[in-house]
Amino acid sequence: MIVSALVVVCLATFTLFFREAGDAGPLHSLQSGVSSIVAPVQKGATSAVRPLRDLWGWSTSLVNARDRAATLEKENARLNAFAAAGQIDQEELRQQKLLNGVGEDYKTDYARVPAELIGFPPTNWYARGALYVGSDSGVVVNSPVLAGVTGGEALVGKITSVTPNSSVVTFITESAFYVGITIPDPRARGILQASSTPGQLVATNIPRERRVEPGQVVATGGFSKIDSPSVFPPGIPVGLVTSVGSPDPDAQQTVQVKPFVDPRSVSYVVVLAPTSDMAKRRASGR
Amino acid sequence: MSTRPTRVLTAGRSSAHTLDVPERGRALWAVALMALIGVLVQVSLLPYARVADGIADIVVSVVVAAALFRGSLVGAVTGFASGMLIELTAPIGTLGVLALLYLIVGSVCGRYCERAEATALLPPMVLIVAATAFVQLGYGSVQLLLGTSVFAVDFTARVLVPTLILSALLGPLVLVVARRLLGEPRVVEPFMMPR
Repeated sequence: MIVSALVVVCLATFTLFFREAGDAGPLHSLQSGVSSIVAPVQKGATSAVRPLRDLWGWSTSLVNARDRAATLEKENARLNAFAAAGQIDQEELRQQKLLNGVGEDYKTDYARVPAELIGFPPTNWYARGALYVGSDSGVVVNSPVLAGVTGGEALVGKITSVTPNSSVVTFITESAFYVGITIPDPRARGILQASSTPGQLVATNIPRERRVEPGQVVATGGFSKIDSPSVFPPGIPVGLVTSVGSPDPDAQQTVQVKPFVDPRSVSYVVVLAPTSDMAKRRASGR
Repeated sequence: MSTRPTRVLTAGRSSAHTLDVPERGRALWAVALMALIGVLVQVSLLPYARVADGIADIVVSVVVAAALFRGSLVGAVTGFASGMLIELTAPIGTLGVLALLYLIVGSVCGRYCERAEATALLPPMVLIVAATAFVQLGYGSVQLLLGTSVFAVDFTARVLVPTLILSALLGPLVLVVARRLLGEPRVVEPFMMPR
């Protein structure tokens, strides 16, 4: 009897949850409210377990490094350095240093809000992450989220839910995520979305006459799936072309893209909080 | 919770003596504490300790252990509460899905509470691995319904198998802790035992 009642509660809950329009509705509000309350706890827990996480990350990177013969020597030198006491802290510092300058190109329209990822989904579907910044810092829904990479910055995702002290970022590897992109070299435009291979992206609707080759950079195009203004400003690097789809009768081609940033390995990001009217219009989807 | 006397199983023998209320309450608090700690570890630590794309599911182990030592009702409620707590606190994008999956795990595994306790670790471990596979496949099916596409080979090799192995490695630890907290005497909570 009790079990049956709980089953009905579950079925009703997730039915209503998915029927709520967008992220609005009482159940989404409940989820946001609870997230807001536990955000400080998550922040504390994240800090507390960070040494363990870094140790694990270091261990797995050691194993992976041994598999890459081409970079073995270089990696070994780096990993040996890691093995020294205190190197884990330096890895943290390195990740934070990568944020220097991220988002500077957009400062006329956006304020840079550095943030720490305090929560990942405890499932294997890496679609979202929780940030310890919220509307109190100017973050709004659809704010672009960037991460630092060696030599620059790259798109990680966008904000899809905000509370005063926390927010949820939906990663570019999430299945429903679409972004209009350009490949500057052949000036090709297309639509980028998650691939069926975890962690990879696929760009479609690229005209065949544009010659796309592996190694070319993919960046945001400033337009969305339906050819309307995008929530992202143009020119944010997203990833590199890894392969181009086999020829087919269509006039368009499909391109495989490896994102510059693996969202699962990011600890710190920069949220672009809109400040200008144009940026606010972008974020509102108009 | 009912005020009826609780039946107690001692090492597989169904002796029908009653368990006093304070001891019973202490055991239920232990279940709640285990579930809470399990959820905290699941959302704060385990997402970062992944192998390939697999993440250990410690909540499954806790729910299975609670069900094995306290029966279907406690297992189901523990599963429901744990799943709901995860979905409310983690950026997971669903509500009610994990709660339902863990609830089913607790309810089904609780039926084994009414049998003689296994003398080896293997049977409960098989339950944990099977329950983990059920949760993974169930959640994967929901993701497919929501439009996420993933190659079956990739899912199996990079997600399912590592998750099962990691969960199997964590399982004994949870079982040992649960056995110490709940194991003697084993109790089947009301409504689950035929009278």
